[in-house]
Amino acid sequence: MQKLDFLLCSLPRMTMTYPPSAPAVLKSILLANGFTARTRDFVCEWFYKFKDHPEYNAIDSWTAMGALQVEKDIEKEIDDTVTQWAQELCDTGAEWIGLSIFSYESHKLGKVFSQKIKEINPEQKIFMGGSGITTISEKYPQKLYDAGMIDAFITGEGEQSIIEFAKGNFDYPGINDMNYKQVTPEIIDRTPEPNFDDYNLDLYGKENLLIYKQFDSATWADFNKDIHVLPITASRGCVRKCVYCDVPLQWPKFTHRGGESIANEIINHYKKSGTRKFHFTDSLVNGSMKEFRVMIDHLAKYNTDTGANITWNGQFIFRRKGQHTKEDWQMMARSGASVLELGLESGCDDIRFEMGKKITNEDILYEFELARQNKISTWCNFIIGWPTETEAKFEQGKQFLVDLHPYAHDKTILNLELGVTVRITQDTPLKANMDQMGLEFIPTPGEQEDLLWWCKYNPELTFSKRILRRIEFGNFAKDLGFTNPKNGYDMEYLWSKWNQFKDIELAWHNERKNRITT
Amino acid sequence: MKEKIELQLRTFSTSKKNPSFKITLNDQVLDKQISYSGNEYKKVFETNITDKDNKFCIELFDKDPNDTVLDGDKIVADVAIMLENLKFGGVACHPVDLHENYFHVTNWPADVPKKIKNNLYFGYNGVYEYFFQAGQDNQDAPVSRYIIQQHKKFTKEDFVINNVNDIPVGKDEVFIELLQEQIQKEKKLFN
Repeated sequence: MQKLDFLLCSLPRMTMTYPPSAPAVLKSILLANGFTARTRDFVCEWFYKFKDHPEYNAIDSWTAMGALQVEKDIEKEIDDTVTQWAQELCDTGAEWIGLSIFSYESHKLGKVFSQKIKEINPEQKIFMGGSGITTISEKYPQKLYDAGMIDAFITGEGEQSIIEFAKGNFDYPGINDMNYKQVTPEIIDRTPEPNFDDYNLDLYGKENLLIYKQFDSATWADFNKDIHVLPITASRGCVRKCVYCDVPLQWPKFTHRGGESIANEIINHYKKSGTRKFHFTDSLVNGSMKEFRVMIDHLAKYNTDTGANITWNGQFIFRRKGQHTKEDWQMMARSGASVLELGLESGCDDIRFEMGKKITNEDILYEFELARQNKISTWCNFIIGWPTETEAKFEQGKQFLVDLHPYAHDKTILNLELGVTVRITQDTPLKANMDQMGLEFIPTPGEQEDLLWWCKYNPELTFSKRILRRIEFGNFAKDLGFTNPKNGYDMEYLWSKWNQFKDIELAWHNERKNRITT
Repeated sequence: MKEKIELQLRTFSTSKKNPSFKITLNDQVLDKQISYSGNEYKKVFETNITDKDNKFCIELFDKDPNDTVLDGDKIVADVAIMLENLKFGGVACHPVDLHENYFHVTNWPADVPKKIKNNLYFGYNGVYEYFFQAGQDNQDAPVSRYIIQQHKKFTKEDFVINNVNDIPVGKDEVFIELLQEQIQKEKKLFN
């Protein structure tokens, strides 16, 4: 039997909307460079192992929250499962086991997996990679590396570094350090199509969206009609520099693949697997209008010529009025644009401009009208509790919902996602400019909680106040006919956070006042 | 069973003298260095461990109290060694685990404690003893399994959460009421 060089594993917690792409991309690159590689999808296996468990919520939360303790019997079930899987991984005889860490929500399981593998076979070589070890402030991979739980880690994008790694060039930037290099457009363009051969695509889709509780299945029916959805990556980085976002620091330069190459990748997947539905993993699909137009033009032609009915979803930016023409919207519709995810973030122009989004409410209404005419749906994100959000600005935001609500009725706005209020996260301009904005963190035990901050220029906007506004905004939206399927999940999360931190916040304000008084 | 032990020490010397030290496993000498002149000592020992309970030792010897160079009360140079890292089968011992084991002072004229804990800087003549187990749950289990168990034992979360699903009945209404009470309390602090 041929020796297996790499076994690449996805790890929970990730969405079950579409399969994780990183192991599939890396596998195709390794195969193209003469190495042997397989993938194993623990995101899917984990979900199907536990989805009907009476304590599924606790298990799901356990993966995401490092500090969460669960009952001993649940802990044992998790431990037994990971032990069995770790044994199976070791039994493959792969030279390297790769653990893909998509976000901090995979940290706990990444550590447990590597410990288990090392317990079974200390000689088994393990490496980690992914955005979950790249865009973080704590030294998660370094600590595991120093402790000998993993034998290597790769930060940044893996397209080039995996080849160098496989060849044994451990001096390549990003291997066992944080000094990764952004990949060039040339590397992106020559990257082979992801290889999903080891995945069971039937296991992804609509039913699995119940991973988030309280989803309105009727709302989701259109969004996820086909069960086969494949991820596509067309670009890296973003053309906007929103101050709350860490993407500009991860990818300082916006890099885009050619529109024709992206369209061809989609068409090839369709020809090979019959998949009609695609999800763009990009920060935005229309960062380069030139290449975006080429892509939609090709897909529209293919759909028209063959009746393939390919559709796609992805993050999208609204632009200033007129920058997207009527013809652009028509072509998008013909290319299969189905649901566009939008970061509107605020209904108040002042706040939106402060955030770095250079569009007005008027621009937004113009774009929605064209979306409606072309039967393209959207999914809109808002952030409640911006540091400068006064009562008046909050009311302006609510008023904008009134302007938007007709689009909710005809499902141009399919859903809202209102989130869990403002986080001040690492590697963002917001974090870098905290002093200037009069912001400070309220210290929390362990890792600093990024939801817990205070703005001296808007002192009464406390965490409690922000949550209250979040609830009020959500209820107002609901009364206007908007749907917000993640609301229950957000509320549970905020309830948990508020209980953890309300006394800490109050004590901190008390101490601050005493300091001022004395 | 065969076990790979990796040891990393930092070594300190004065202009006149270098440290001398000995590494043993279950009283068998793995290495002995007389007047070691480098700043760092890194070595991998291929060993064969047959017992369940084992002892890995690092001994500093041939030091005199006068080897410590003082400027007033301040130490400006010393003959000493510091344990930086100890790995079994590639897995590093947890720092707390290392600190939990003792350094036994031997052959030292001054009045100092005979047993020292929580210090991996060995500045007196004496022996640091690290106790570990092999064949934890079966005879062939590697030492790294014990080391990983020690990691689990000594890794403490800064705080734990256990009320994640404890949502109040009536949800929004109850939550809103509690939030408003809290906001009222906070408001007094901004006047």
